[in-house]
Amino acid sequence: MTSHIRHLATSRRVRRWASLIGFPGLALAAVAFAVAVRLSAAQEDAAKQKVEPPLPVEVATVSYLDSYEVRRAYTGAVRAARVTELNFERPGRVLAVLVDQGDEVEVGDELARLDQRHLLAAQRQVTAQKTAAEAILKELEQGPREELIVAQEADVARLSAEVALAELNLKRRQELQDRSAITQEEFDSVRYSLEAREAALAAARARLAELINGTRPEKIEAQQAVVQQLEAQLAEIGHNLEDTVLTAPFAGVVTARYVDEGGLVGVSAPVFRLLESDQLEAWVGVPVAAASLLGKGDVATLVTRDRELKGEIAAVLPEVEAATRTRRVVVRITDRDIEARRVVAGQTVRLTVHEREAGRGFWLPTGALVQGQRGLWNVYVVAEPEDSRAGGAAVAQRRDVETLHTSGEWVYVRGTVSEGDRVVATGAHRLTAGQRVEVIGVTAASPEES
Amino acid sequence: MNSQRSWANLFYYDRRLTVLTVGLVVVMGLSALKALPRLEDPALTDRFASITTLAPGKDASFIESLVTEKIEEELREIEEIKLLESSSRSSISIIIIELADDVTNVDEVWSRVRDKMNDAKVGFPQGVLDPDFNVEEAGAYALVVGMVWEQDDTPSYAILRRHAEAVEAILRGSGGTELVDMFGEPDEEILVEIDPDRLAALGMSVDQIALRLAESDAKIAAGQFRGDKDNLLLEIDSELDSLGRIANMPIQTADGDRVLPLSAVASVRKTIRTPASSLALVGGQPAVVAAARVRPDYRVDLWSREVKARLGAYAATLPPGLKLAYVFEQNQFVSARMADLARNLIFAAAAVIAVMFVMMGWRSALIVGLALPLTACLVLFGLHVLEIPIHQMSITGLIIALGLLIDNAIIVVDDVRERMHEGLTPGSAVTRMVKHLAMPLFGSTLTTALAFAPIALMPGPAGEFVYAIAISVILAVFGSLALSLTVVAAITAMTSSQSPTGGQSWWQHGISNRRLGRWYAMTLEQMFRRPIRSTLATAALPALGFLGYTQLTEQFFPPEDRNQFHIELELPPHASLEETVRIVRAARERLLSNPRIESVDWFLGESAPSFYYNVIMRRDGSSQYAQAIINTNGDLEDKTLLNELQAELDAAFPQSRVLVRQLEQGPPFKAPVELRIYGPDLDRLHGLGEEIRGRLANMPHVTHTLADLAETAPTLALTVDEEQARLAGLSHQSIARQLNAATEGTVGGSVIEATEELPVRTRISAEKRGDWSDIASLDLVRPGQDLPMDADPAAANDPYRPSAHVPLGALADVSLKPERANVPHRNGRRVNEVKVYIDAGVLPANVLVPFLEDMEADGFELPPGYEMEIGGESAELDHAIANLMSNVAPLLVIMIAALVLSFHSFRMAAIIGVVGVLAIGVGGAMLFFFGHPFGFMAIVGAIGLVGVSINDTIVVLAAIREDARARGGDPLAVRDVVMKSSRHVISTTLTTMAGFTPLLLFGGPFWEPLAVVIAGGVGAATLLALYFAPSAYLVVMCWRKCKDEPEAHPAEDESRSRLDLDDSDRRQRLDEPRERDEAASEPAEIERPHDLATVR
Repeated sequence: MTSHIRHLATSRRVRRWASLIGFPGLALAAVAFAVAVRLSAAQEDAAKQKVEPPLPVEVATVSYLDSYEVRRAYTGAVRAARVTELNFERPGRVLAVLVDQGDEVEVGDELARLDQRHLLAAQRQVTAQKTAAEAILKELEQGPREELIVAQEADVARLSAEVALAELNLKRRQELQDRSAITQEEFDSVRYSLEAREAALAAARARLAELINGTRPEKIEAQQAVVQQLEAQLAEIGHNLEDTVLTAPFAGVVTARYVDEGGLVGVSAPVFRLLESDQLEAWVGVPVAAASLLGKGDVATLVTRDRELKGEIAAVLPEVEAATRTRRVVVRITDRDIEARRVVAGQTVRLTVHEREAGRGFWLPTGALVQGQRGLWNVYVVAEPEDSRAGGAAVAQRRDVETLHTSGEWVYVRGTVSEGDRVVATGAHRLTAGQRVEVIGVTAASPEES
Repeated sequence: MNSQRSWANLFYYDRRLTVLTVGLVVVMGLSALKALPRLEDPALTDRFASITTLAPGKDASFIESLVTEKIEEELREIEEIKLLESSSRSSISIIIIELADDVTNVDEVWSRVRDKMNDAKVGFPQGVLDPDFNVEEAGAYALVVGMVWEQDDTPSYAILRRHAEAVEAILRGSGGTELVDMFGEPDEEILVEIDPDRLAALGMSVDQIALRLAESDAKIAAGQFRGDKDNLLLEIDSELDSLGRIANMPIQTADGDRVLPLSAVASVRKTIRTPASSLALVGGQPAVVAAARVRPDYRVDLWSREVKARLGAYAATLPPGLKLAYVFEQNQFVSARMADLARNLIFAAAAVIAVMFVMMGWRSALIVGLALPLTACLVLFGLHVLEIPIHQMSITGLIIALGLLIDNAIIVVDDVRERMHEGLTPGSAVTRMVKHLAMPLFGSTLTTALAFAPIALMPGPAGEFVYAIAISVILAVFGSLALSLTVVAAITAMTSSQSPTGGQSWWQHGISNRRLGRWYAMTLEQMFRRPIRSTLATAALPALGFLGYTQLTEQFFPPEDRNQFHIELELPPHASLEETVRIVRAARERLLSNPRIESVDWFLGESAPSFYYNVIMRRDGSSQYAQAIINTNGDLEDKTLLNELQAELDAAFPQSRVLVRQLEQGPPFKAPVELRIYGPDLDRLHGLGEEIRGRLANMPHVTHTLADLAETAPTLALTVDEEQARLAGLSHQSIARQLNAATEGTVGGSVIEATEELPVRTRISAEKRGDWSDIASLDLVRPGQDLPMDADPAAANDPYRPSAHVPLGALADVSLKPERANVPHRNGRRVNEVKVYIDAGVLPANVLVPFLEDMEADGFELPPGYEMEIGGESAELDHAIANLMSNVAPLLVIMIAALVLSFHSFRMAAIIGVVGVLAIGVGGAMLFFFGHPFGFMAIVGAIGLVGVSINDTIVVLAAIREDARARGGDPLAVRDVVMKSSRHVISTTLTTMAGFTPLLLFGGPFWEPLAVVIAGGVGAATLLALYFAPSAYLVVMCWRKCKDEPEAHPAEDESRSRLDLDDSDRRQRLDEPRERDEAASEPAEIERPHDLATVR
């Protein structure tokens, strides 16, 4: 019974409880409990909500320089210092070709010979003429013989005697005339006979004097000239004969042979190409601005496909080539490789020119650049936190920069960055201004370091 | 007996019909199961297409105004286009077109798009190539297989490619393959590399050589010889057929007196195009990868088996050093998923039957349980008819339906047995049951179907993704209705005894507890006596649930749990592919050092093959980009691994943006949070974008941000001194051409090697093209015929004269300029899209909402003419909800009409409507309580919940209406009616909850919200049906009575109530006849416990 009562009491309590609050009340309580549980869980969630760790970045420390070096390479070709197209000075048929392409020759070596027959014939002809002329000259130089003078003297003597006789006759006739023993006619005939004899005598005497005085020098000189001319002709033929043999003007290598035996060559037709092999040069076209940095005697580095060559600038020509807008820089190659024939003429080389340009700025890897406003570049500088909003981590700040030069993976820039600033060097494309970052490494700050 | 025969009990009397029907249903189901294609996820309509237009050498703004805008203008006339997104980059314009969600005949629209594109083409300036239209096929590849170069030396892509092509042929040749794409396949080509010096000496340009190559390649017909007897085809045997032929191709010099072989001035070799546009590293080794997609109407498991057998046979013939490696097999996931779902299905069925057993006894449980497989068979057959493949959505629809479809069977079984216990013959019990229940059951089935109809009718990709759930459910509830009224009713009648003579043990009839029953009756009575108070109180609680919604974070779809994720890695825009390869290899090492990671396969220069349906492939030809497919051991339910990796990779590779991305579900989006700023000025947009990025960057959970306009294409700007160039005999054009020849080269002619056509590329050889500073030193070759003869004839004869070169530096200044890489448009307007990537496992809304609040607090305002739009997940969610709701209004009207007509009462319909609304509130409370976000599946759940809870209410209200006194507003009569219905209602509720248990337990974040909403909500909704609906009925239908005095006629109530109770509940009746008298009034009630005790 007690149990009944107790049961009854409990049931009543329950019932009253239930009737008091009713089902809605119970449900409400359940919901309130659930909400409380959920809300506290949500708060826990919020508390647990982690702040994203700052983005790791690599930085480069800014160090300003006053100038930067620009490396540029310009193409040119290796040339021999001397290259000659050899040819005969006279046309003719080639008789012999003594060397071939690739042969090395020394100075004066015979290379080729032309046909000489015509020249030799002409030489003989002139020699004969010269002999004749010389004979005449000698004769002139010798003068008249003794026998002629004696004969002439005899002639003069004879004529003198005849004059004397004629004078006597005249005298007699004069007398006779005076006595008019004779006619005037007879007298005149004697007188004129005397005058004729006197003229003959004068002529004979002049002849004698001429004979005694000998040949005139003008005549001799003229004859001498004839002889000299013939001598000169002979010398010319001699030279021509020499010219039929082509010799090497300098030591080198025959790089081309254009004619063969039996061919006729003209005056300008090349026969060989001879290249001086011991001295090579590089001719490089360098833009005007860069060329002005180079001076005679500077050491220059040339690069071929597979090796580097040392050289010395021999000349920077003072004119701009119209076609290429460059100045020609001649570099004499001093490298020993030449001797080993590892560098040959005609090879393309590149002349590296280091230009140092003035301008304050600093180097950055290109990965540090991001696009800014209106065609400017930006970089991110890691700045210490200013406010608590960033959660104590450093933040990235955007700075403007201007590129002065680019070289490979590096850029030389200047801008609103100060010495010692830490610039995000890689992966700047991930960042934005104000982003929290954490420096995890420092990279090289210039191309030399890297 | 024959007199009792009617249409309603046909199945009872014609047992052969019953047996045959069961047999037919089973056979239909099994045959459908065999024939139905199996996919992992539903196939989506191809609503995306791209138009790509190349214009080599043009900058972004040129492309924007002269190419992109022209096409956009034309396309704007097509109204089916929902979205036009374009990016105008240097040399390329890409327009992405998305069709409106309600477009289904996509092919027709695409052909119109093509027409418009061709119209726009006419207006292109010179130098712009023809646009290329490409429909982006949605969906993932079923098999991704790589041909891997295992040796350590440099791979020969010629060999790799040939073998990869054989693999491609195998894949293509297999039945059911839709398409095969190749990845990491570098283009092979014949490279003619010309020595510029020698070429200059010949007085020729590269163009001329390329032209000669093309000319000497006569792959054209040369007429026919028609003789008396034979006709013979003439052919000039001149095709470029081998390297040797190209090398020996005669080149005539400019002066025409020398003929040289091409090899004299150029090297000729077969090579891959460098730099390669894309590469693949499978297991760290170079590979060429083939990816195949299966037709959606094909069973991927069968396809996989066949293809793998053939590939295996081919792999056996591979030489050492080559290996065939499977990068991804969808089949594994499909079969795992299917097995998983099948397990869930069986588990759910077991749980349902167990509940039935407890509630109704073993006999009923078995009969009701029989309804499950039969309905499942009907559903499968229905899917087959509707051509819906088996995938996770349709199967899940089946699981959801399990809990719902059983309702009909429970009610039918219970009713038939009840009537038989009341003494009716089985035949007439069935007839009566059909007569009484057919309409209400049809009504409740219809409302369930209508509740799920918005999901089934939802347009757009989200709709295509989930509609199969609703179809399955609708098929299931109608199927179960049909089966319940026929087969189930018949079998129940056949197996049940006519009188309640059987044992009273709980396993026979289900569990019952007198005291509980008593208490239950008491609470009901309490409630119904004060209906106004009760109505308000019971309505208040679920209404509070709406507050829960305000506390929820939004989430479209939860991330996927499977053991895969992907990593996107992006270097600065000027990075070369070699650099990317280096980083990517290092990243792989690092990833593999984590014990949870099993494999890492990288795809460089392009997107990885889409291995998951919403991993979209949008990157092409960007050498600084790489994407990895990563497999882990074990599922990735816990996303901390991803977040750890994110932090680790961020620290290890500070030069690259690494995005460790989980697999998302639902329609694809580019980034979890997207903010779009529209405006006219690019600089301004860029500035605003950066400001927003700056705010976002420091928010919790934000890993990386990215703005479209922040993308830079560093450009080497060449300022050509035109006078100098003229003097050198060069023009802008010829300089550009030469630079192109030196860098990219020109293509002329091709060589055919077996089935391969290799283009012949002619290019100037250059020792180094990698270093920017070398550009200034690049030599331009002056055209030979332009050379003035030097005074010195020897120099003119010198073929090595340096004057053939003009260094570019002599004519132009070279400087590095930031160039806008991309001018993006969205629907024709300039836009700067800020993409925000967040920690894995974090809801986008958790980032977006604080951000927006923060902005508002700071008073951030955009300048006039600029506006911001939120995209990404939340926009997709809003969009999907809008789509979902688009059909709700008409369906609601139909539902209301159905209710009003079936009850002949607006007020009753209103009560049911209120229950529906309150159920939604309950759903919110459930989500809140279990800590789930408010996502798409939760909404689907809420809609389903409305249907289920309305069902219960309909049952209860229908019962009240059936009872004359209850209808009149007698609280005790109502109590009795409710008591009578309770077992049904509670049973159906418990079975529904049981049906959802597997989803609740193993559903993962995807299904849990839905399961929580429905299972939890149904529990609460039952209380609504049992307490709120009758109270509200009393209030609304018997308003006057309530106002007068609810307890005004206790005596009358009392007598009636006893009768009712006796009728209604056999077990209740057993308790105590006397109790009924006392229960009628307060004082009597107080005595009752005592009576109970004495009985004992």
